[in-house]
Amino acid sequence: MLSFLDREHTVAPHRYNRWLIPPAALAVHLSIGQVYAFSVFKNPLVERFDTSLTPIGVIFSISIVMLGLSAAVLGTWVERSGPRKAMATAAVCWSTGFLVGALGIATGQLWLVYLGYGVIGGIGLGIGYISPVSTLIKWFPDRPGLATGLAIMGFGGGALVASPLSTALLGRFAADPQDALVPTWVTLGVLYAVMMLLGAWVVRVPAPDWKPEGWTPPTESRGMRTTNSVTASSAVRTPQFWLLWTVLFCNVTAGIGILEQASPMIQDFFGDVTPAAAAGYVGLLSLCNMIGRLLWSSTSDVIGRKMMYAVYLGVGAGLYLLTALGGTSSTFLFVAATGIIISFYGGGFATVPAYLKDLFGGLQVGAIHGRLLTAWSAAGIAGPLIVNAIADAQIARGQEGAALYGLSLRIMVGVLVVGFIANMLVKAVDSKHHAGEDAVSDDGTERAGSGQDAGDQDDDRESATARRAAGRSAEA
Amino acid sequence: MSSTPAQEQSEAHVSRSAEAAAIGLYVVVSAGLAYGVWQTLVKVTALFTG
Repeated sequence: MLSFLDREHTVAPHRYNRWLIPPAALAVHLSIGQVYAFSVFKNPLVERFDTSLTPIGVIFSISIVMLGLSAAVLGTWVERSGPRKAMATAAVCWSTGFLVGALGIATGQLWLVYLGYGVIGGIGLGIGYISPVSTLIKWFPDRPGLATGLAIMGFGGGALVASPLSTALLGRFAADPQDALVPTWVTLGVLYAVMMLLGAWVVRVPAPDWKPEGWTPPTESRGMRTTNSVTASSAVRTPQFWLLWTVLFCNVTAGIGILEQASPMIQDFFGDVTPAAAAGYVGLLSLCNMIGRLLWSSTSDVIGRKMMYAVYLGVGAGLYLLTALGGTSSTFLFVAATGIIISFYGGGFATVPAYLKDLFGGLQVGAIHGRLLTAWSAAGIAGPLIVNAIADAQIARGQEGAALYGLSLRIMVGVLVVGFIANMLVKAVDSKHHAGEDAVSDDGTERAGSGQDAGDQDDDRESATARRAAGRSAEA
Repeated sequence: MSSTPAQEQSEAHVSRSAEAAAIGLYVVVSAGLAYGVWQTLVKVTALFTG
């Protein structure tokens, strides 16, 4: 009955317009991007559960950790099942997360909110984030940076939509926002389910022999861009994967440190900035985050992925240093420098799938991308920890204003320099990791014993034989 | 195995429906993004005027 969700039922006719695919990806990413607007619910939740900010902040942390873990664990399944089944699963998880969370709010059970929005919703985030990426790369082999930028821009834009929408719903359902939480979460759960399921319905994968008109696939590897493929299990054994993991970790740690503290930071830097103006600053950073995803990722198609990351990390380090040394001299300088830094933060997210495709080929790029997103989870803990711990220590020493952030901004410069060096060390993947012709079946499922390091092949040979036998009996 | 004319007609119909849905989704996500950007720009003005 649910066979229409299978990959084979989503293959598009040859003349299908590939520009009809991005809205499907955008619908999913705009929906799950709501997670960046979670702060809208923080104060009403604190009042509803009569608790402090920390236990409420845990809800967001759980969802981001689950995003990374589920993307890593379920990446291969997403690749095998195809985008429609993955998007539909993400829709069910994300929507159920809101509904279970609403039940927790209604009954005063905070653990149910952890389970709903945090765990179940977080799994929806992970699956939803990676589900359209490899499909878009297959539709836009000539411009993978533009393709992934289009999708991942939606994740940045999700907060722009969710923040005013949630505020409007909270105001509409009750006079006191804490009383409006349950209907608001139910409404959002239903709304996002509809949007994401529409995306799942619309998404199509190209036929195996399809290619854009007038585009000739490269016949040989050039620089770091390979024409070969590396399976997900082999990719994690390469130094390139871990160098890119470090690059993403450093870029996200530096960006998230500012994003998480944006409102208090600008008010501490400039005493005359009002809370309303600080909210405007946060909004501006969100816009920079969204625009950077499309702009810089598309630029990477022209100047190359390695050069683009050199800009993110090198220029980013320079801008951090400028903010640390001269940030208090001018509001415009501070806003401009941090705005560009956050655009690099967004660009880093959007460019990384194309970088992976260059290095490891397109066959299992979604699964490899999923594994790489554990860097995001780790950075989501490290970035705010560095900024908050240093600010707390400075307050304990009697410091105030911009002095609270000077040291953490300098540490971020160091973090970005580490990322810059890691990026410079990225070279083409050694051919011993390339999968053979027979390594991966048509649906992207990895066959054992191929493209793996020699030591692992013996272990897999026996199970591969057993699986082939099982496959034959199933076909029979 | 080649498909029958009836199958081809059915596939063409499904394809047209998907195209219409994709265009509709374009309108919805564009409207959503425009709403979000507009609301954000309203807030951003406070940064420079407030």
